[in-house]
Amino acid sequence: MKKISVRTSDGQEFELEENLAMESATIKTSLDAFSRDDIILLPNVNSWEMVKIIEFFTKVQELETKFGVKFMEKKEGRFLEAFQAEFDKDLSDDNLYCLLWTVDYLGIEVLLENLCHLMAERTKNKTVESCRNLFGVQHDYTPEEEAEIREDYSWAFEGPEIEE
Amino acid sequence: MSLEHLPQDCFEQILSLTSPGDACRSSLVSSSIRAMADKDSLWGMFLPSDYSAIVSRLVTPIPYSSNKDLFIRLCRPNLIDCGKKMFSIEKSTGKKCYMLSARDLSITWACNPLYWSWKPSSESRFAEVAELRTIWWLEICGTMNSQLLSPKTVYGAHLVIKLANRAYGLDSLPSEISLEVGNYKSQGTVYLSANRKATEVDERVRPIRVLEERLRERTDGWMEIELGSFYNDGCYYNKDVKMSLKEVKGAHLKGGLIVEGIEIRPKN
Repeated sequence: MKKISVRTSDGQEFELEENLAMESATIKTSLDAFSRDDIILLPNVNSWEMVKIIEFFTKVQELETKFGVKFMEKKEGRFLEAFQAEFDKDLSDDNLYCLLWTVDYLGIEVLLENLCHLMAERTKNKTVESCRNLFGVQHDYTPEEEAEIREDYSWAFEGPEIEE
Repeated sequence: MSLEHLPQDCFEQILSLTSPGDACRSSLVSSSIRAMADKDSLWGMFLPSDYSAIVSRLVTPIPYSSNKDLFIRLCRPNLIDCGKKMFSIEKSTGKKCYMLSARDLSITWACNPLYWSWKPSSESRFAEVAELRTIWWLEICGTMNSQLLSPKTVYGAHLVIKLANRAYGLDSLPSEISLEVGNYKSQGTVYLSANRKATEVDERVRPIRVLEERLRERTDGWMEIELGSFYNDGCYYNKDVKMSLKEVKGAHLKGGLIVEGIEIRPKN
């Protein structure tokens, strides 16, 4: 299979399998504009992200074969659990945000779905304060506003919440 | 890096993979998160895909100001399909729940006032419930098109009843319960008595799944019996779910059973 060469922001070069490169809408657009023998520059992607993306993509292909899921089919259940089991524990929140941004920038839909799932799992059933830390945002409600929202959606606050 | 560096539709995709409850809790994080967590496009993903058609089938129109508002309103049961059924969605998942009214069921001899009487009940939202006067052939069946339900979901079907003070003969023999959809069939038995647990299990027929069941209390003042459960895969072709309770082997008279309907809801 033909390889496509890319250079990341820190000057490292990678050879991507053509099928991965073509999954990136951004790379595909560059390929349409230039020759396939040229090196594609990716100034918004650094090398550790590229390594991770190649790792993810290989795993997604492996899981698709294992679970008999077609390429563009919506991924569910065991597929997502298997992906999460492989990658979740070694990814900090900060790294996951970086990868989400990069994969979104590169336009790789199939990976974006899996990474959004990882982030969603970190959000589920968490306390409001934990979500604030996870999202990296500041609290900006008055006590009255907060009380009103809690009352309007009291059912959402029943049940256990995870503090992290 | 944090959330605000991500494109908005990326955050929306993340939230859509959580749950309605998580999205509501997120709105308490900050006002900027609330703006994203309250969006119609997000709550449109939590609502059933055919929610417009559902809303048009409601007996009483629901006024709503946003998809989030509609979601919360649909969590409460609403009469649908000319009052023959009630519809709601499960608030933790957005999955569909239906209750078939007694009038929507096939109750043998229900049209004969000697055996069954129909009357309104202050404890039911349906126009009528059915009360058994006296009969020896007790057979209650319900049918539901599985396409009306949420796909890729395990559902349980429950007969919702009360036992009148004057009830008699209902627990002399166990009643047979069954649920059938496509090639799947489950069978079991239940004693129609609040005080007794089911003990008999039909092991003669295989590979049918067998249940031991008993009456359970509901939070709305009624009682229920699980008739069976099934996995709704959401395949294209229509499959009817057939549910039944019957006691036709004993030749003795029974009476005092009040039937509100059959509820089909996701099973956790």
